[in-house]
Amino acid sequence: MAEAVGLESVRKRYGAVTALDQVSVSVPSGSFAAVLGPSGCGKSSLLHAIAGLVRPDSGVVRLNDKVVGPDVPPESRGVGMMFQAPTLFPHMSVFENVAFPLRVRGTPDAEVNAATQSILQLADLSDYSRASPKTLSGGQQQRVALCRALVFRPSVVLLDEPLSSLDRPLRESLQRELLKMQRATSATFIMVTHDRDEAMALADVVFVMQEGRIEQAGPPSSLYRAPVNRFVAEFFGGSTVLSGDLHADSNLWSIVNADGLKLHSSAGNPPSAGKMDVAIKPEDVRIRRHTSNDAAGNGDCLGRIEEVRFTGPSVLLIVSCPSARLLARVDADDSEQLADGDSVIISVNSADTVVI
Amino acid sequence: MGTLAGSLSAPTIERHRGYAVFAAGLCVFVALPLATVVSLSIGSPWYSIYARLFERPEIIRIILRTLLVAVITAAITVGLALPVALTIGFSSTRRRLALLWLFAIAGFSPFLVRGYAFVGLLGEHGPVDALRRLLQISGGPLLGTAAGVVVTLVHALIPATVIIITAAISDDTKRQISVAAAFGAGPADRFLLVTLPTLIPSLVSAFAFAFIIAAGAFTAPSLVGGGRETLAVQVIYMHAIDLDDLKSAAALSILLALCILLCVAAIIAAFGSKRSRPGSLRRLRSVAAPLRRVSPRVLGAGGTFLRVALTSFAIILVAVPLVYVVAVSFQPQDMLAFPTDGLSVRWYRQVLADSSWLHAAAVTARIGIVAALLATSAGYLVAQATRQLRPSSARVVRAATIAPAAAPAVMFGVGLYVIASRIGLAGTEFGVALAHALAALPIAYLAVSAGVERYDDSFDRAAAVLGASPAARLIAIRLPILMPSFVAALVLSLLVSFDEVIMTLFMAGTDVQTIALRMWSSAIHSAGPELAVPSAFLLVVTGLGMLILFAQFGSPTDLTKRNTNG
Repeated sequence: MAEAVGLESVRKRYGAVTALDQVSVSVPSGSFAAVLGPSGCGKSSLLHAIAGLVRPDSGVVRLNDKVVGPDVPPESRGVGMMFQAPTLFPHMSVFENVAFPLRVRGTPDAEVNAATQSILQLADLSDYSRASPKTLSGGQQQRVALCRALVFRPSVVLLDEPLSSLDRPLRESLQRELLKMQRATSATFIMVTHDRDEAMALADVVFVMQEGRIEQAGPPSSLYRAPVNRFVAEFFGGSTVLSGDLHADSNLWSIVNADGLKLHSSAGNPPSAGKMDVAIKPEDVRIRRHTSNDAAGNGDCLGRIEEVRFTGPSVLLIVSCPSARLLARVDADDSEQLADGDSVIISVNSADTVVI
Repeated sequence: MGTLAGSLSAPTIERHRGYAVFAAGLCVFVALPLATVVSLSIGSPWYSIYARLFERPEIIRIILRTLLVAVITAAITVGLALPVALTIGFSSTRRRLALLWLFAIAGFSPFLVRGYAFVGLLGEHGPVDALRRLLQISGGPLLGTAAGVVVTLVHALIPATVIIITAAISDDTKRQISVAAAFGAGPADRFLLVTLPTLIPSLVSAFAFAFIIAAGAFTAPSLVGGGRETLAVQVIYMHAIDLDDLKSAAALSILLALCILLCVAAIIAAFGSKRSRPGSLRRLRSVAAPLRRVSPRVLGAGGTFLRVALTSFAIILVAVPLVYVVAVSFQPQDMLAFPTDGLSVRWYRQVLADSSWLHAAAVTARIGIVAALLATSAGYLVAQATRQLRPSSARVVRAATIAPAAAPAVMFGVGLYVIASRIGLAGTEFGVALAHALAALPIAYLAVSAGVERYDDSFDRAAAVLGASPAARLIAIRLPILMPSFVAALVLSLLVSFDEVIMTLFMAGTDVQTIALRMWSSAIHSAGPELAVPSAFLLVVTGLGMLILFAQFGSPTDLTKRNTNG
């Protein structure tokens, strides 16, 4: 697949802070990419470097297979962009806001009107075209901003946490809107977000960032199933990362922690010797009540429930055994007898965990 | 060419050196007249001119009298403005806006017109003296006395001080008062321990403002005080123009400026510290102690009565002269007498038939427009510069921009006159317009910079990414969004220009005749009723200007407000 946006060894420092540390990414054209990371990880700088709003100290930025030098101003890059705030021009109507990118490109009036009206229609905003943006709700304003970013048919659209200031139901409806618009225009969308669920729901490809570096890139499912390091496992997978010792037994090997809890088991040759880290997803943890006639078996360990967090269909438990503490997700129906402080037996579905 | 400022180090959206260069140039433009005055005042040996001034006891007396009049004026003004501001600050939105705009109209009405009004009001045929005779109080008319000058100055300064203090009564203050009440503080404690301490910084600035303007005042003391109660600026003017002794005038104006500076520094040193000291709080609490024994209901009612009474008095004091001027313009008698019998448009006919008035109106308009455009564009460029400069440099630039309001205008008048004579600008309309631009620069800068500092640079970034070139961003985005601030700056600068007398007297020579100058030269000899016509005209212009501002801004306190949430 052709590449829409490429970055190669891009660096950007602000004083002592490194916002982008040798970042290289390649976004296939027509995809919906998400750049995910905690605040301050450099994900906005990455987007701004593509837009030309941040000048990289070094490295190469490519748009549609063409190198874009650091001196190419934003207005010559031809990308669409949405910001965290709607940033609609307060002195223009909704229509004029959306028409703005066409007007500055000298598009003939007839074309401006046709394109603007059709995109407002697609976004269900035709009724508001004469309105002042100030009279619109926050969600409507962001939809206008989306229309404005798309109206001139850019091949690349950058979205800088556009939904982060909206409340949950509105955010979900706008997520659907973003997907719909992306499919309708077949433009490449690159969205920056700190919300893992949003990235999973929308993106074909996710770039997880931390401290100016890309930690892992790939489709959400592969990042979820096979995190390459502790950060991705915890931040993207919501996993608990525990370390244990290798126990090899002819063709089988396993990793067992200090409490005798079997964290992982595999056939074949172990990847290395000694201590290893294992990412355990909450749903791979099994919990059963500890009763007098049920003792911890091989690979299990005794623990205590520290916290029960009801989340609807499932319940998230924080459980601790002597040397570790981990997250477990159990079916809400199975959790009814469980309460804080209960003694439980913990086991791990060791075939599904990932050694990192 | 990049013309936009931005906080990001982007290829095009970046700082521009041009703003800083302009700011440096403006500092020189402001400093040059002052430097000229300083150099004029230096004799050989350097202190000889000052020494000669100090040998004249009447000079010392006049300076001390000027400072005393200014202190008394400022004290009365702030004492009256505080209850008014409290009334306005705690009224319903509608009443608050109505009162604020009343004070804004009054505050921006020409000083000259109001001085003229007081000549009529306080004169021997005026209503105040009629009231005195009716009540059989001994003495003569207030016209020509120091008390008359103080009344005129208090009237002139109340509106601005009310707006300064009202702006400090925030929703935060109101919440704090509610919290104090919830914790059991009675009316006296709430006022003395919560309201008053939060307003002290604004009271200090209001006092300093009133003091500075009163000490440098020229029109009010000249018209109302006349020759008997001479104040410092009149003496400076006399030395410069009548005695042709520019050196003494320069030395005197520096002396006056230094005295004002010292007094303001003393005021700020005494009351200006932002943190309330534990000692002062204890003192306030001991003041509140005896009041606590009075029933809160009685105390609350008494406080409210006092506040409403003082507010009503202030409103009357502010409104009556404006109404009086309009009323006088429609009366038929040959002298400034009102109340009178009958209505007449006689004076309108006479003024409109006089081509010199119409000529003066045209000159005034030309000079006003040039001055307003100059002051507003300079204000914008300086505001852009101060946003980009290092804080220390920005402070210097801001001080230079505000200087024409803080130093006595007569000082700039003398300095500009000397420079303009050398380069052939004295006696030209453009020379006068330049002087007016300097006079209007502080208010224009305050109005524009409020908008510039509120302006969100992300509009520029959004427009840039969407394809707008730097020029398109400036024309289609930045200037339209800043337009209300530009309008405010233009309107306020125009009003300053229409009212400017002292610098104009120096710069205009014999050829340039503005309405203000024409009014001034008539009023100083005999303030007749025909002057009520141009006065009424200027009041109508002021009212229209305020109407424009009302359409752009909700409240006069928003004109120079820097941060808003939405």
